[in-house]
Amino acid sequence: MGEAELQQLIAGCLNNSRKDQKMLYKAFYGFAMGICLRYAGNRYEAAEILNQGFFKVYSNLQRYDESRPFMAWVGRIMMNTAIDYHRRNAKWAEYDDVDEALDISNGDYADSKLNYDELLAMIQRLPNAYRTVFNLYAIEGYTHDEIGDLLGISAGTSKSNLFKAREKLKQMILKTEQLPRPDTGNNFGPVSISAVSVGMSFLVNFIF
Amino acid sequence: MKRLNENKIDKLFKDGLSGPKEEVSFNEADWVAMEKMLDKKSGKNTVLFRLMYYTSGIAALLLLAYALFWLPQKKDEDKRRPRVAKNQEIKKQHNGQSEQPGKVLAMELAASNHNIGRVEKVPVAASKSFFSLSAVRNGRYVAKNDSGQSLANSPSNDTAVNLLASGSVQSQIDSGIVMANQSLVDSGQLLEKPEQPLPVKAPKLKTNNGFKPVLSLAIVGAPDVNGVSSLNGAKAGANLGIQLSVQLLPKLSVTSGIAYAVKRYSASAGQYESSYKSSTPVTYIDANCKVLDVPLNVNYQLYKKGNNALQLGTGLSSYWMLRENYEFEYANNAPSFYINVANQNRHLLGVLNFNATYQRQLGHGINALVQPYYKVPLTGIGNGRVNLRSAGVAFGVGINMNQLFRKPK
Repeated sequence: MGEAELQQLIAGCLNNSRKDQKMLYKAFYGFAMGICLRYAGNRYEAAEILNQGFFKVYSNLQRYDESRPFMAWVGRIMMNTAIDYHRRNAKWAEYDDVDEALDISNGDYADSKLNYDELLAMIQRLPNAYRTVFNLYAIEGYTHDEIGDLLGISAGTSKSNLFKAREKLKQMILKTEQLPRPDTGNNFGPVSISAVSVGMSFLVNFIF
Repeated sequence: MKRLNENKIDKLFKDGLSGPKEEVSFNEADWVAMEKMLDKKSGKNTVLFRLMYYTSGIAALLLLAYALFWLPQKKDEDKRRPRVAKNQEIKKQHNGQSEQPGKVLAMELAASNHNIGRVEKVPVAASKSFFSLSAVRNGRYVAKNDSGQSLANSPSNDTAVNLLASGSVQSQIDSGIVMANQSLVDSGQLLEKPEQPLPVKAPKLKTNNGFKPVLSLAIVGAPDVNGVSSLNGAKAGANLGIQLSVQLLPKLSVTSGIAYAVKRYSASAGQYESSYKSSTPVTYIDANCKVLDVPLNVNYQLYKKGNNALQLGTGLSSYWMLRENYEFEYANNAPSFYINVANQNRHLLGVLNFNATYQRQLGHGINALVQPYYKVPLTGIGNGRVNLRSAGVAFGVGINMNQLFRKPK
């Protein structure tokens, strides 16, 4: 989307044009939903966070500083909304602090052939507290001190949660890699069962 | 923010999940849910109108109650009118029967008799000493009994009319027993025990020294300033509302009402309570809150002379936080963070009010008021539980309901 087009959309939204609001929503849906899906436990939660985030975007458009990138502004709102969404129910304190998170990545996971959906499914299976810290640390690039400030937890708790998140993700990756993959694995199983089944029915027909 | 040692699991997820996602296709159902949220937002504006609607309803009910309060008093006055009308009918009947000159003569005798009462002409421009029924009925004469007590102040003049118009007196006159009539009047029996079937209820005397509660309704608008902990660096706000006052005692009144207030203020990070901690230091928080303020104040009249009056008041206000918008400004030009809260905080009797009211009567029951005020919270206000103080001057126009409903003279 061009800058001029974006400015027009923003102006339309400021005038409560439902058409422009929808266009803006559609234009940033993929980007915003990508963030929300990472922070949410499932797609429904993600959609809820997304809409709450967009609601804030519409409500605060008049405060948007045009000198800053609009996408970054929307992304920040989505991230904050997601954190706020989980912050209400998250029990950060129940996790033990650790002095230092251990580096558990000895395997070369960067070479894993995991696609977006698989990675997303894994991160969504993490408990909220682990997932939020992992998102903030691994994907957004915040430090533990910053995460601690952001979530109202200690840096130690942040480290602990990150460590446990990685541990769980590692187990999920290993489990996924051990399973036969539909595109590369042995898919003769169902075919051979079908062949035997057809053969049996032919034999039964022949006998009777 | 960037770390040198990037974990491989972190990298795997960062590369796979960050950035724009083509995989996430637009879902129309999400937009439908979004539209519902937006419709709800626009519906929030109707909450205010609904509140105003209910407020006007309450005001109308109060007016109605007040009108009903006045109605019995008016009825007392009206009660006499139909009775007079009845008497007129009776009189007509009697007139129809009393064409004989003897009766008129007897009436004159009876009326002019000093034992019945000394007849005084109240308005000087009245008819002569001829004591006619119509003269009494029209209230132009005040009959005084021997004790000197005014019969006209009580409705005894009516009683006299009743008696005269009734068959009792008439029959006595008819029979020519004037002396008997005199003795009856002298003893007061005639007034107390009329033989007439018409009920003569002793009406309540209206005492002028009895205090009546005064009800006033005022529309006020107030520019004010709002600040946290103190009014240094306070920001301007505005209020619009109605005030309803009931003067319970000559110098004491109670005021309530409802006002829609826009409160804008700035707070430092320390003044705003939040578990939301930012890595980047918050320089300040800009707040814009829409509040419904329902005060309950007691006022003491300090001074009143002529059309001017001065009152001092204090009391408590309840705040309903309709909408709260907070903008967190960070150092280093970091993007602002916003919190929007709607209808989540209310503070029942949580704000202490101090005010002084100068009132000036403009005539016809209308008065102008100027009311400097100061509001100090007893509890933390809003989402950030801030010590939000307000000071302003309310300007308004009020209506004295008592004068509005006063019977025409």
